Amino acid sequence: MAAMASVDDAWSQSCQKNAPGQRLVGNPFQLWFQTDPKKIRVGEFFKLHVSICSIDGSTLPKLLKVNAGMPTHGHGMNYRPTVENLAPGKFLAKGLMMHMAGKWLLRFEFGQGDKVTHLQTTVTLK
Amino acid sequence: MRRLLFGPIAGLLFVATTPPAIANGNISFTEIEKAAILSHGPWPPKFRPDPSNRVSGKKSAVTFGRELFRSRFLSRSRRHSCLTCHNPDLAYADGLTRSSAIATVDRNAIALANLRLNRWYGWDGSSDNLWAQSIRPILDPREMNATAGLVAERIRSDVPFSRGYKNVFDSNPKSDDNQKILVNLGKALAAFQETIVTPPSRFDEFRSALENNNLKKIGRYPLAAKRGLKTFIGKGKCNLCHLGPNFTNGEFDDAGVRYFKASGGVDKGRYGGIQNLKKSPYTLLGKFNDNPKNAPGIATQHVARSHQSWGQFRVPSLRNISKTAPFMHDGSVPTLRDVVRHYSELNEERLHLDGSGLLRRLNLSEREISDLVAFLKTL
Ligand code: HEC
Ligand code: HEC
Repeated sequence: MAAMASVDDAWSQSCQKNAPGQRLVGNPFQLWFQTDPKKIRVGEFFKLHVSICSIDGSTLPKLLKVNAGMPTHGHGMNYRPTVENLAPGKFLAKGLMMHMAGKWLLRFEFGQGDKVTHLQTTVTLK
Repeated sequence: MRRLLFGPIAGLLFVATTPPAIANGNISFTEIEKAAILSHGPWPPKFRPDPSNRVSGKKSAVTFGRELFRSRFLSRSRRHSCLTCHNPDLAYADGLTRSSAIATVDRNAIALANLRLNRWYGWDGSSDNLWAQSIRPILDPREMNATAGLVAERIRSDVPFSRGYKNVFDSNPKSDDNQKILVNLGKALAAFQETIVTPPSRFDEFRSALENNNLKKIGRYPLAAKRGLKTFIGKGKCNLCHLGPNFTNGEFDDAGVRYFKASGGVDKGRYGGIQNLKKSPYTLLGKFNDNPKNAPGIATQHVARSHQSWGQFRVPSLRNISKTAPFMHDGSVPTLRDVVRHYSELNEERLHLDGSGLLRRLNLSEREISDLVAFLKTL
């Protein structure tokens, strides 16, 4: 319960400047995400709490897919995450697991109507 | 030609990269190396019962499971038991290239140990839990060639086994259906096999000495093993896949081993493993899981088959490795020295993730090879 509450708090703050977690700025949206557990480890499953916020008040897009891969090794994850839409702009991705140390590219794909865009960031696992 | 060219260069490189911090013939490790070494412990891990198996950790189940493991009446012909291929004197493997009971199978018997740490079972991860993996050989026509009906009937009609069953599962085999009996036997076999844990090794002693900065004990770990360890976590990048206390990431990869069956067909490896998993009624997503809440089968829900899974095999644990020859999924590599040579002379073109940079021909010197072997033998 406690964990849920803190995530909810984070979500309600997620469109504010100093929100916890990591922010990726797109146009006209920004995406905020936090891993659960906060510290992710090689070979352990984790979830992602994701919020999408509109910068200019336009309708929120939907998170369609989350994926990750190691560009320098040319492989992805061995698992296919699922995305749940919990509320407008709030998503929960489950089933992520990075099975090797090193640099991973984490990619969020979202869409509105027939337009699909993506935002990405690197995550380095030790 | 390539050997001639690379030999002397590799030798030179070794001299150049040997860290300067060698004092009194000993070797010191940088903070980064130290962190990498410490991540391979502590050992042994604390036992946590398997939530999907209600008799996991239960004493009577361990005893009953040990009996079943030895017993030949789980095989149709009453000639084979689990011991046929998992002999305790051979670290619960069989020393053969490919195992054999009624017929020869396609793979090398996996040495049974530390099984609670697995996410997947079998070289291809056909099972997501230990009881399902324990049912597999009972039903395989090349191994024990039985059926649920056959083993259920034998349990029902054998007085001591029938009593043992009642005692462990609190139910009468006369009223349980065949499937339920088969799965319960798998669960008792699992309870026994979970107790096979490798004791702390020379590496573990060294690791805790390093953790506690006990110089005297650090000094006891052979120099060659220390040098080999440096290669393992450094130039060799072995810990990319063989990581953590059990020296595996628990996943699947292509280590450049060819993947043909004895009969000549292709062993699909992980690709086939995921196919088997999806067909199996005995996964964590099925009705035989005793506690779906605590063992929800996240991995099985999300596992994805791709062209990448083709010909991949599980990254094996390296614990107890000096006792489990021959090596690789098909037993094609006879000694540890040959394994290290395999990585050293790797045919990069054969890797199907070509250019992935995960595995590179290492071109190790003879001394580096000996050192790496010396290290592996301490696990
Ligand atoms: C014919 C020889 C043979 C017999 C008999 C046999 N096994 Fe195996 N066992 C193997 C082989 C070969 C593998 C590797 C299988 C694979 O990857 O396809 C294996 C793998 C396993 C594994 C997986 C270990 C891991 O780390 O993933 C378990 C557990 C196991 N066997 C338990 C048993 C039990 C229990 C029995 C008796 C009911 C048994 N085996 C009978 C040959 C045998
Ligand atoms: C890319 C991941 C990866 C890396 C890096 C890697 N391995 Fe492996 N290793 C594997 C896989 C996968 C297998 C099983 C391959 C097979 O059976 O086809 C294996 C098998 C082995 C085995 C045989 C174990 C057994 O029980 O049969 C040994 C020993 C071993 N590796 C040692 C090493 C050493 C030493 C290094 C560094 C030089 C290394 N590995 C680097 C993935 C890797």
